[in-house]
Amino acid sequence: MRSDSFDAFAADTGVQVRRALVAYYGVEVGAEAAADAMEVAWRRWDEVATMHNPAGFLFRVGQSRARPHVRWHRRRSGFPADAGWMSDDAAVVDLLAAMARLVPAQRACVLLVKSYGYSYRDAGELLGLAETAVTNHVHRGLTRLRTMMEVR
Amino acid sequence: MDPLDDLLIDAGHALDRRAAEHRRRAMPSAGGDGPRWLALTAAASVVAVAGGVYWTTQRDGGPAATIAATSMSSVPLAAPTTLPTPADGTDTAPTTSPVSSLAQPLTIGMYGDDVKLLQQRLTDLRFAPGPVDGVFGENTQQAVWAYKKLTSEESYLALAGSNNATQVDDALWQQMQAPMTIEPRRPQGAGSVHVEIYLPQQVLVVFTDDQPSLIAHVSSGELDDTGEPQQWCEVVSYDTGPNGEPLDELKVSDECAYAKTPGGVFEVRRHIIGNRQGPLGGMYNPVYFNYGIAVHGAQNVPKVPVSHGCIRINMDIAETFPTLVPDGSRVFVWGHDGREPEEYSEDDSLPSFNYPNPNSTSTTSSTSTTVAPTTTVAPAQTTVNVSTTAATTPPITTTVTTTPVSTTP
Repeated sequence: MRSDSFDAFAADTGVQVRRALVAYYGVEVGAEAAADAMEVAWRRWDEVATMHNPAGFLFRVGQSRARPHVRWHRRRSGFPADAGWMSDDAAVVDLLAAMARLVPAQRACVLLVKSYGYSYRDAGELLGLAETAVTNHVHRGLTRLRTMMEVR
Repeated sequence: MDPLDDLLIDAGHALDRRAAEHRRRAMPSAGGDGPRWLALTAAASVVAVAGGVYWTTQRDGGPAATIAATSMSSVPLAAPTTLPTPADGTDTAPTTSPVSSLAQPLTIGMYGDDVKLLQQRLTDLRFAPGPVDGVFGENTQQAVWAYKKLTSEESYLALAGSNNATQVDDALWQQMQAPMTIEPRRPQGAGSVHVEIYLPQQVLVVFTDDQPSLIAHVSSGELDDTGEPQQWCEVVSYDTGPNGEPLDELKVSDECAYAKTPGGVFEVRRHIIGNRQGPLGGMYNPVYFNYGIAVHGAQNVPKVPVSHGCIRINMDIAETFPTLVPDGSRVFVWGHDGREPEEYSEDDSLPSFNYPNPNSTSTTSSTSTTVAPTTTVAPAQTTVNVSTTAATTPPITTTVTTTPVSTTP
């Protein structure tokens, strides 16, 4: 049944897309954009079901849905710096605030690879980047994060 | 292992959790209609308050609700004379639209011309289903709930227990199309505006010139298993002092009260435009009528009473409600116990005022050691000795003395 297979798809691919979009745009905009993308997936299910890389496609859809809701001056970062409400752990809040200062692609790569345990290849497919680019983003992102966290 | 690695994993969890919560916050909690993911995506269209940012581009269903693609057509009927008439009197809405029947029941997530007709009819009857866009979204859902509850005059429990609460089948649609009049229970005459709130049905009606101008599904103060107001104890934070003056820093205290929405006759005291951060959380466009009890917009307006005592309406209706009801308008509240509003004594119609949590470990209040244990306090008598200034301000930090139940009149 369509809705059964879609449920499974939403539980797996949907979460991946949401993680990538949240890493790019923060929780509010990212989660809304991910819901928009899943709506597109449902409407165009016949196409999406046969896609080689549906998560990557839906991530791009989510990106274009999120764009109007991210202000220009925040577009470079997108990820809100005030993370106090996200966790009770001060260290985590600090880390999220530091992450807000990374370039979105760096942040997404660091989060996907280091926080969620994706392989470089999987993260690259999802974000539309080459494996080597992901490697570089993760390395540079982590270096910057370490510098920022130590300065504090 | 690098400590940063652990932190990164924690940060990932925090983001995941907040992202999942973010969806849930905007989701209709009443659920039960359609598959779970449908509610998930439909929630994108709800006006989502996200850190003070309103996402207003999609309303009432929006494109999100169109995902359950169902085509429907309306078939005009030749004989409108056989329709049931739920109420006597003249129709308040134009009756020129042709009477139609439904090929299949409508419910949330559908779209099409039939939904448009339904929305138009609900709009004519003042049930405020949102824009007439042919998309059966959450606003339309709540309008249908309000219609069912108001016309059936049954307790909200009947709707809450129903498996197809949101469904509009052909029989109901025929009933909706018949002429109907909604009469005020307390006519106030021409030129008046008043509000009637029926707690047993969880419905609010605004009457302008004794004609309904807005009918809304609401959610009032939570009840416990015995039907009495639910007690709550929470750590609350105030941003304003007892006389409404802004405080330099948030005052945080551990307090208890009962989620009581009392019946009675009241007047609208004051409006606040926009989002007010009260001690118990955000309220959108609150209209106060009984001390700290307000009619206000909320994202979550389920089929059952869940508030701390306020009357929740949905965010879109909260846009229009304050404009319809000026200060001084009378508010009649019919309580759960079946009494008429006028039968409530002054004490009965007082809301439950906060008192310090007797079991609090961090309280600084000196009175907390002398108050009665929570288990023996009766809900209706917990609040006494309210200072007179409370009439113009919400009783957020009004001096309240809690007495043991044995000495309360």
